[in-house]
This record gives sequence, structure tokens and C-alpha cells, in this order.
Amino acid sequence: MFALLNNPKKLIYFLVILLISIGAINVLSASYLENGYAYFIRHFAYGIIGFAVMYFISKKDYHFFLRSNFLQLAYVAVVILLLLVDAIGAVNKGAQRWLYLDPISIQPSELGKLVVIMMSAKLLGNMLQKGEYISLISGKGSRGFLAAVILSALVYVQPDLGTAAIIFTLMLCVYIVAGISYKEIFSIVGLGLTGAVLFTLSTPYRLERIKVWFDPWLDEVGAGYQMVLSLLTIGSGGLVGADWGQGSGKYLYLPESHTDFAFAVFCQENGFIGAAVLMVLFLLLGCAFFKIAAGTKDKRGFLLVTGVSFLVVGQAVANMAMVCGIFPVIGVPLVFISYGGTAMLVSMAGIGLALSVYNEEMKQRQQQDNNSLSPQTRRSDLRVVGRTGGSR
Amino acid sequence: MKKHYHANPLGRYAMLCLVLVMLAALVVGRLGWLQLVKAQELSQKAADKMTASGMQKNPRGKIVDRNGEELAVSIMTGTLYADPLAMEDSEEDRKNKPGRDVRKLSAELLAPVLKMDAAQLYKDFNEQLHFIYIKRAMEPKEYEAAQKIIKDNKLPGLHFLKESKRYYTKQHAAAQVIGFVGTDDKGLSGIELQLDSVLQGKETKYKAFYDLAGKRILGSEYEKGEQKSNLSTVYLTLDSKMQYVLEDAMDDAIKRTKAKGAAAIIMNPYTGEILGMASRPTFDPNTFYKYPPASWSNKTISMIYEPGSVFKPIVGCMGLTEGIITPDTLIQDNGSIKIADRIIHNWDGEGMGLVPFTEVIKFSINTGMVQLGMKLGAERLIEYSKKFGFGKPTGVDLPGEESGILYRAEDMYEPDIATMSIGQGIAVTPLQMLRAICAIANGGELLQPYIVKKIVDADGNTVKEGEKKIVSHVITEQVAAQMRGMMEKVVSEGGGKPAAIRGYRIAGKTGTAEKLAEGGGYAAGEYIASFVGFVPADKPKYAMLVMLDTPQGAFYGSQVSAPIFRDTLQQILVAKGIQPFSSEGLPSFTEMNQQQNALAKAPQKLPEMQFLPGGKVKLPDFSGIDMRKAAELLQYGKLRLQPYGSGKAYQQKSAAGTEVDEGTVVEIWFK
Repeated sequence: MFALLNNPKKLIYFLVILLISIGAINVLSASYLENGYAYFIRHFAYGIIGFAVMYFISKKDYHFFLRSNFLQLAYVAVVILLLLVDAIGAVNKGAQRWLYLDPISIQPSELGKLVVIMMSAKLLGNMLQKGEYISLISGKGSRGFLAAVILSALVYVQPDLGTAAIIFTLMLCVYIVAGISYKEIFSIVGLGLTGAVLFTLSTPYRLERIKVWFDPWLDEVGAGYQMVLSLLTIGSGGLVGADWGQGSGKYLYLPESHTDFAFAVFCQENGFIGAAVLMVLFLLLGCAFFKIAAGTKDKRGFLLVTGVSFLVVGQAVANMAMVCGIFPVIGVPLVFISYGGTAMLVSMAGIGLALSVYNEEMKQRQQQDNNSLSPQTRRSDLRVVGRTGGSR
Repeated sequence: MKKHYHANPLGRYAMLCLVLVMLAALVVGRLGWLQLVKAQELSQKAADKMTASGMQKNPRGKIVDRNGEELAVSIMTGTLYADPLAMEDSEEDRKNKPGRDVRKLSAELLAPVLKMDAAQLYKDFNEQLHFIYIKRAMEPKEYEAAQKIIKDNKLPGLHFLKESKRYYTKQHAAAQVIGFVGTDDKGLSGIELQLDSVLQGKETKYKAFYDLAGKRILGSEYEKGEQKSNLSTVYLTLDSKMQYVLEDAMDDAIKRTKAKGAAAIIMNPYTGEILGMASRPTFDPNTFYKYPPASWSNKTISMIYEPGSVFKPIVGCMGLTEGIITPDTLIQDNGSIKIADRIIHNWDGEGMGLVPFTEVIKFSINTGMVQLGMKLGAERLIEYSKKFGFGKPTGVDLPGEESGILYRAEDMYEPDIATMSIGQGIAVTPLQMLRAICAIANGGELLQPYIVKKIVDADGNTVKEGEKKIVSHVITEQVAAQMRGMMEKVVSEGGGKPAAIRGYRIAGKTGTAEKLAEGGGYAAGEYIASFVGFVPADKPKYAMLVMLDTPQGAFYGSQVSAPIFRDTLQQILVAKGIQPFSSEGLPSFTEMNQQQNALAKAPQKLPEMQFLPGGKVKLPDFSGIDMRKAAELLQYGKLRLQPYGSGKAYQQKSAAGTEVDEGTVVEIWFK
């Protein structure tokens, strides 16, 4: 296992397979009672498809996916899908997050997460390469910011405030890494917090939710319902957990017990030890990404890997924080563990991109080794930049 | 432009990663707090949330007849209810089955199985409710079929409850006595109402894991309160066989006389046990709601009417007790008598001259009774009537009993006294009337009639037993015997001849009275024809009252009610093996054959009973004959009949040709 730490690629493959398997078993336990093997099989099927997608992408040069025309196409496609979902949602008079294209359904907002990361990585990576000043509000940086805000807004009107916030945050993280000034960081965070407070105070039910976040037992049968059940489910796991399949969380009818709150069921059945191990596995995944990022000279590749790490590991930690009551309830998935086809495929695609970055970096290094100390490499690298950034 | 300002991206990344790791540490810390420190408390809370001490409904107790034959039984079956707001596919399911309208589909699939209207079901499924009953206490077959449809099609929002369903095994037999239950298993009439608290399926307490939707988690029942079913069985004093004969006779009577209603009771005159009780119009308690509510009422206790001449033996007893008359006291009958401004006639207007009091009863002479009544006076008439139990409920253990109407003595004018002595100006229930006659039959005891023989709990212990209860001694044995003698003459020589059963001593009295109109006064042209009597006259086994409300055509008690009495009791006597006091007067076979042929022009020859030396009898083939004829035949051969069903005989035991001893029971099946 420690040998794996030196090879982030192998470590990622190992962890992905392990996490998908754990997830499948957990989904089975959480949903077996009502749906039998249906979710288990689908979860596994998505895992296999996702794995294939990941492998395919990792074999291709990620610069291909960062080409402007590809990104523009992806962005427009996501916008259209989101508008479609909004339109259907308006007709059905209810929240709508999925687009049903029998036999599969897609959740365009999940796609949006990856597209935002890729766009930001491309834009800011290029700027970093050129040593340009990066800002949210001025210059080229503001364009990417605006594009991400538009996407978030479309998700927000679904209405899905949680996912909109996640898309925005993922974009912001990439910007922070790319190097926006601290003044901007603190302003945007401060602005966001103030806005959130005002927003919360303006609508009583949101205020309720926040109160409940601090003490879910305040409103056990109302707003705190899901949280109370989640905490009871987690708590009754103890140190080593209940027997597999015997966890009572699903009987408690913990809402979303196989999707967003799958971690609660996991905690109950595997106990504190299991939960801690799961956390460690995700952090190890994070380590692998960090290692890839640290070793990547191409700033676009670097930013892409950081973005993907936030997408996969950041969301996972956020989900666990939400399920155990540290974060308020926002619809953030726990990739691999919670059931959700689009989120899984998107994450695997992201991981595929990260692996591609690693593969390309390795190729570069090999070339470098071959023509040792040849300045050509540097130039060829620049050529690649020139080629892919053609539409500037 | 601070063009040269550049952060170190990897440093920034490391910083964000650090934030993430700190958050992860916080999560692990929080998990430790929840799963290690608070584990006990939270587990307990979770268990509490899911544990419910549920109540399990047990089926309702049985009602059986005196011999344990089932009259009303319950079985557990399913009740279908819907949560209309939940009748939508989840987002996940919608992906698999896009565009299906669960409510419409459910309505279409379930309508034929439930035998309900699909449009109505669809309407129910669109209610903005979380709970609506769709069909309660389904037939087991319906239940299974509906269950399968819901499971196969994964229809959301449709669930079952366990509820008990009541079955009345003998359909309309003793329907008003047994009563019925509503859909919530609550007794609504009859014994079901009277003993509801006893019969009601008690709820058994148990503890089990429940999910928050209220569904019990399979196999999770870990504590059960009382394991035993706490069902009580109610034994009635009714005898199903007698009831059957009685119901048959009632059906027949209604068909022949087109009467609006009828009531009949058979009672054990020595104990007050009610052996048979029938009321018309009737209904089937299994589907009581399909019948008019009027058919649910038990006319034997709820209908009040003027008894007419049937009341004369009671007045006669008063005269005998007070010493105003003896059976031989001569009374002048002029065909009519004037009291104040009112003239009372005999039924035929004819006078018989100077006759002993026995004849007054025998021929139901109004003028004679009026003379006795005037001598008794209002005070004594009312006082004795009360002693005989009129004017207040008998106290029988059935709901809805009427008291009848009795004058207050001080309100009575002379004509009132006169009419009351012939059974008018007093309103009684059939049961009150029969009970008063039973006091004559049993030698003077006024009994409280009862219909619940015993109540047996789940462990087989008898918790309550009905027993003979003497309310008072109204007349002396001597007076009773004198009146029995007179009443016997009514049947053997007087107006009650149609009630005679050859070979038995029958005592009885006919009665025909104008019907009381609902708003007061009399209903023109409407009569109540009744007959009351007991058998055998000297030591009565059975007392019976038959009352027909507004028979069409013939309306005299002797014409329409007395034959019902005869036919019913004849079958019962033979079935119960009560031997005729002598074969004297019994028809010979040839006579019977001729009689039957003349009566019914029966195409088939009647079977013959062959007498063999040594008191043995060779059984004929009974097939094709009705119960009454079979009874007569067996009676002639001094055999006993055990009948099953009604209609024509189709099977017998022992077989034709078998030689049997006197007194043997012959079983015959009719259909």
C-alpha cells in the first residue's frame, strides 16, 4: 500500500476500485429493503461504465478536452440541458434536477461542475503560463467568473441552491489556487457570508433550517427531521457498527439514505472505525491528486488536477460534514458511496483527466530524459500551448 | 497593474488542502463524538423511535347455537387503504417507467378485482389525503388478487391493514336475533350489539420494530403481550334445527298470506329459554346494508299490537283466581252485549245461550269475556295484567325491546274495561304475550325469557350462564291447570282446530285483532292474526306464538296462524322424538294416502311403512317427499326424524329396506 503512494496512478486505480465496491455494497444495504438489487446493479453498472470512461480519457491527451471549441461546445450543451430541465420543471410544477432520456437520466448540474473546472483550468492556466494578473473582476479572469456564475444561476433556478453554491465554490477554489489576491478572496468570502446571512434572514424557512442545523432536535418532526434521523443512524453504529444489512437507518426512513445520506448508513453499519477508514481512503485519493499536481509543470494540467481533487475529495469531505451535521444540508453527493449515476460518471471523467495530466507529464519527463537538458522540450511545450489556445 | 504579483499556486493549493484536511479532522472528531461518546444515547433514541407497542386486532368472538353450531364467525382478512398523495412514482422509478399515471393505472387494474367502479377509484386516488379506505374487510380471494396486482406492478401508496370480517353462516336464519356488525367490527344490532363488549375482538398488545412509515419490520417482533386469543364464544339458547323449521314456516306463510310482516317464537315454558325466534320481513346479515332498515328490527320484541282473543286466557285466569268464575260457571251469551254506549258482538254475531265458562274460552265468546271483565273491573284487570308482565319489557337479553301499552286503571271508562277483556285496548309484544301464556303452561311462574345460554371465554371457562329466572308466581297451579284444560279444548273442539296435531295434546288460543294504525286508532281492514299455544298440553315442552301482520285474503288467526303452529311443531316434535301420547286418532296408512292424494294430487305414491313382528319397522324410500310428510310417516312408525336442509328428501339413513326398532332416529336430507 505504501509502495502505491509513490505511484499516484496505481494508487488512484486501486482506490477507485475499492471505493466503488464499498459504495455498491452500501447502496445494496441501504436500498435492498425497498428495491432489491436494482440500485446495486445500477450502481455497479455506472461504476463499470465510469471506469471505462476514466480509462479512455486518461489515455488521451487532456489538452484535447481543453480546446476552446470543445469547451465552448460543452458549456453550451450544459446550458441547453439546464434550460431544458428548468423548462420541464416549470411544467411539472416541482423541483427538477434530472433529465430523463429513457433508459438513462442525466443530471446536467453535475456535468456543469466539471465543465466549470475545465474552463477555469484552461483560462487561468494559460494566464499563469503567460504571467498575467489573475482577478475575478477584471481582465480575462472575469470572463470565466461570469461564465461560471451564469451556470450557477441556471442551477439555482431549478431550484437547487446547494449545487449552485458547489459549482461556484469549485470555480472559486481554482481561482484561489491560480492566485487571485487575498483582498479578492476575503471580499468574495465576506460578501458571500453576508449575502448568505441576509438571504437566510429574509426567508423564515431558511432561518429555520439554520437553527435546526445548530440543534436538529429543535424541530425533530419538521426541518430537523432528516438531520435527527441521520445523527441517530450514525450514533447507533458505535465503534464497530451493526451487522451488514442490519443497520436500522433505512427503517428509520432516513430520506436519501442511498443517495446524499448514504454515509449515515455507512457509519451505522461500519461504525466509527469504518467511517474513519473511509475518510482516510478519500484523503489518500487527495494525496494522489496532490502528488500529480505537484509534479505537473503545465499550469493548465496543474489547475485541472486541483479542480478535480476538489470535485472528488472536497465534495466527499463536504458530504460527510453535512451528514454528521457540521455543514447545513446541501445536496452534495458522496462520490462512489452514494447512488447517483451522473455524479459518478462526472467524477470518473474528472479523475480520467487527472490521470491524463499525469500520463502527459510522464511522457514529457521521458522526452526530457531522452534529450537530456535539451531546451527543445521547453519550446515544444510552448508549441502545444500555442496550438490548443488558438482561439484567443 | 500589479503585473508582477503572483502567488505560488502550489502553496495556495497546499493551503486549501490543509483547510480540507482540517475539515476532515473535524468530521472524524464529530463522528467520534457521535459514535463513541453518544453512541449509547443515540442507539436508544433510534430504537425508541422505531419500537412501537402495536396493537394487534383479534377476530370477533363466535356466536353459536345451544349445540355449538356456528351462527356468526369471524376471520382475519385484509383492508385496502391508499395514501393518495404518495401514489406517484419516485424520481428513480419514473426513469424506468416514464409517464405512467399511477392513479389511473391503479384504478384500472384494481377495479375489476375489487368489483368497484374504476372512475370512483380514480377519484379516491386523487383525494388530497394521506389516508383513505378503499375496501374494507375484503373477501380472502379479493385480498390475494389485489395484493398480487400491487406487488407485480409496484404500485406506490397502496397498503393493507388486517381487519376481521364477519360471516353469518346461516344467512337470514335468526338474522334479527344475531344482528350484524358495521365495517369497524362494531355490533350494530341484535346479540352483536347486546354483547358487543364480550364479542369484540380484543386488541393484543405487542412490541415490534416499526419503520417510521408505520410498517412493521418483518420478523422483528420481539415481545408479544398476550399470546392467547381472548375470544369469547356466545352460546344462544336457539336450536338451529328448530330455527330452520321456523324460518321455513315463516317464508312459506309470507308467500301464502302475503302478510306485511310476521313474528314467531318458540320457548321452553319451564325455563324461559328461547329456542326459536323469527321475524319478517327479514334480511341477510352478511349484506345487511342491501335491505331496508325495517327488516333489521326484531318484531318479536319490538312490535306492539293488540293481542285480541289470545289475551282471553289471561283474563280467564284472573276470573278463576279471583273466584269470580269456575270452568263450569254458566254465562249467558246473547251474541252481543251493550256496555255504556258501546255494543260488543261475537265474531259471528251469534249467541249460544247459557254456556259454561269453558265454552266461552273454547269458542272465544266475546260477550262472556266482557261480562267477566266487567266483574273484575279496571283495577284488577290492570293489576293482573302487570302481574302477567304486560306494560314493561320482559328483560330478555336482546336490544330494542318495547314495553307495550297498558291503561292506567283510573283512566278507564266502562267500554275500555269491556274491550280490554277481549284483548283490545292493550298493546303487547309477541314475547310478552308468549311469556304470559307460558305462565299458564308451567303452572303459574312468570319467567324472564332469555336467549344467551352461556358465554365461554378463550380458555373454555364459562364466564356467564343464562338460567331460569322466576319473576313472580302469578297464578296457582290449580288455576293454570284449569286454564290449560280450557285451552286444550280450544284446539281439540273449538276455534283452534287447525292447530291440532294428531296424537298430541295441544293447548292454544287463536286471536284476530284490528291493527293499530300508526297515528292512533285502527287501520281499516288490517288485521293481526295470531295463535299461541303449547304442547303437550299436560306437561308442555314447547310453547309457541305465531303472529301475522296484515295477511291478505283469509285473516283469522285460526285460518292463517294456527296451521303454521301445527306444521312447525309437528316437525319439531318428531325431530325431538317426543312420542304421541297414543296412536289413537292417528290416521291409518290408507287414510293418509288418500288424504295426501286428495290434497296435493301427488303424482308419486307415498312410501309405506312396513310393520314387522317384534316391534320392528322396515324403512321405505323417502326420496321426493317433503319434511312434513316424512315426519308424519315416521311418527306413525314411532320413529324419530333428524332432518337436514329443507325441500324434498334426497338421501336417508338408514337406507330403504332396513329394519329398525321403535324410537330409532332416521336421518333424512332435504333439498
